[in-house]
Amino acid sequence: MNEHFETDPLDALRAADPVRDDHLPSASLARIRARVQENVMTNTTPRAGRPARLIAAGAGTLAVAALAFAFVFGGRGAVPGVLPGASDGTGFAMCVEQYSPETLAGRSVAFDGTVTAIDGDNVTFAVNDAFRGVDDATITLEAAGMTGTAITSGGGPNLAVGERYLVAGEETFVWACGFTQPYDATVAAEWSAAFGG
Amino acid sequence: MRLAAMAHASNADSARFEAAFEAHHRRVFAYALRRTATEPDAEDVVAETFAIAWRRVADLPPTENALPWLFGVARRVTANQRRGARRWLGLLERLRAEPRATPGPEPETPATEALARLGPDDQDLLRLLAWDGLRQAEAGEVLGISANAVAIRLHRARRRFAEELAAIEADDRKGSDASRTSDTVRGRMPGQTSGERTT
Repeated sequence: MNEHFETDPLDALRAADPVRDDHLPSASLARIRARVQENVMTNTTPRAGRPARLIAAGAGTLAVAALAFAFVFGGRGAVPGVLPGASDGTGFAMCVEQYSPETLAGRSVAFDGTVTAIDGDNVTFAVNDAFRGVDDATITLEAAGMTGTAITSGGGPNLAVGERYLVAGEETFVWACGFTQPYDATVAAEWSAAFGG
Repeated sequence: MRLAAMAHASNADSARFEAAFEAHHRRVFAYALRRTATEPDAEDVVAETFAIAWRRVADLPPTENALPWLFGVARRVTANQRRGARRWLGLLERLRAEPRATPGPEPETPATEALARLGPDDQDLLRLLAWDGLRQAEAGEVLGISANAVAIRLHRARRRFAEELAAIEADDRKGSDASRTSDTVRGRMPGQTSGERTT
């Protein structure tokens, strides 16, 4: 299942970098410094002005509205045809795909598992029930952004040793955004059905 | 060299801006050079990026975390510059009634050709990681996507890049084999021009 390259194909791309950071044109750097200096001299230090405050206030209002919407409409089973886990994803714009029964069925790996070890971004699960793409009793997958080690971690639960999850992903990766969520027996039955179980 | 105009500044915002400029302006310039056609264009991107950073200095992260934020600003500035250039070139071309190609900053190699065959999202991500030296989580900040989405996209983009690179290299090999065969038939040695003859 693991795809392995003898050499990283991106090495060829690194070698083709058209710019060397240590050989930048000094004249350009001097011009940039002068322009930035001029800008700083002619513009007083700005603070969050009225437009910024209005935007922030508007964003706050939207966030509250979104939370209220999720509270009212995101309850388990509240929306017919949407799996209960659909509301678990956060920040849809940050997700590769939005969670749905159709997109769930497109994942090559799916199982019910309990976390037994976390090493950096690599998470090992004891497999309780395999829905697709899992042959062994344990599986180790990369769960970037879901182990508390990354700067950004939107869209997924923070996985913890001893906790049980429904996990879906692709090849060597766990997917966030609702594709991995805390275990729930009802949802597990729906996952089993989604994968033809 | 310090920014002379700010040497007297004592408030925290000015100090943070100056520290960010000194620490990162070279890498922001390198970022811009990789994505613009000319050095003046890249200078414009950097100057505008730091002008925005100065206007929004209250939002500027601490120096050690500021680079992805600055790249994110530079990315939008570059996109705006491209849109403006396209409009300007379109006007020129209509006036001249002849097509004109915009020169690219990248020399043509199998790797850059393979990169050019990918979608814009894949290109963005691979450039940030392979050329700009960002970590995955930092690239996610620039692109506005989660670390998980970066990992997934990278996995796919790396595979597509490898496939395109392999295809290009296979074509190149076929081409050079055909050239050698053709040269041999014509009585030339490989690498010899058609004007030269073996004796």
